[in-house]
Amino acid sequence: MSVPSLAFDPVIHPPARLQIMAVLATVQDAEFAMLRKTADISDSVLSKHLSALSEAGYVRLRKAAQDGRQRTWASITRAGRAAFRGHVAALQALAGVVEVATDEVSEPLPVRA
Amino acid sequence: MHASQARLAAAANCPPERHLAFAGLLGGLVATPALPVTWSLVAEGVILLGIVLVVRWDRRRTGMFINGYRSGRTRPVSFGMLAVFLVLYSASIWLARERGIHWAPLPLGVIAAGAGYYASILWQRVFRREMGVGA
Repeated sequence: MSVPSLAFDPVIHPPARLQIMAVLATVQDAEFAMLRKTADISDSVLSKHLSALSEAGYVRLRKAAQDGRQRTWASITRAGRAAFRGHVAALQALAGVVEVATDEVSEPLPVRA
Repeated sequence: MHASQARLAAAANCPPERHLAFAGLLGGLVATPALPVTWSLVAEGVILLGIVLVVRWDRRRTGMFINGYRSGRTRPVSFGMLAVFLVLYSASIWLARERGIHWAPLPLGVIAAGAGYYASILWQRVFRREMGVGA
């Protein structure tokens, strides 16, 4: 059994970042509060993750006024979308390898006479 | 990841008035050739402003904006609706301007509004299913 080379991205890999990227890959842009609610994390944790994703060039952040308050909006970049797709493909490939390995282990041993 | 997508789908749920707004804008656009050229341009400008307001309403209501032409299972619904709209809009212009049947855009606008309402509901249903939530 060979394991294909997998394009895991350490920047995207933490579960909260995966959730953020999954949302941003679906929408055109999303507001900070919406992302916090969807990923079910605190303001400070989301802020750190968004900064890391932004520094990696995966997420674009912009400030916009709404109802008299400054709000942060995030959107995924082209590089971010490519990295996310690659990472999800790597996870799926790994899940496939694990599934095959589990099937092989659970096969009954041949009975010898 | 699936859990966050399911939460996203729930947040993106549109109220009936949002479907009606989309239907009204689409129907209005198809019906504009019923007006004299100058007034039809003014009406189209008002409808474009309406589109901007609907986008702003979406952002305010949900905290995000989802492009209708996003890649995924919803894209065939969007392009199907675009094709229906282009056929109805072209027929509306042709009947009103070339054939002189000035009332023709009105029933075509009603058909476009009905198709828009149905397409908007269908789009949401397909989106929810794609996000792993029951329709």
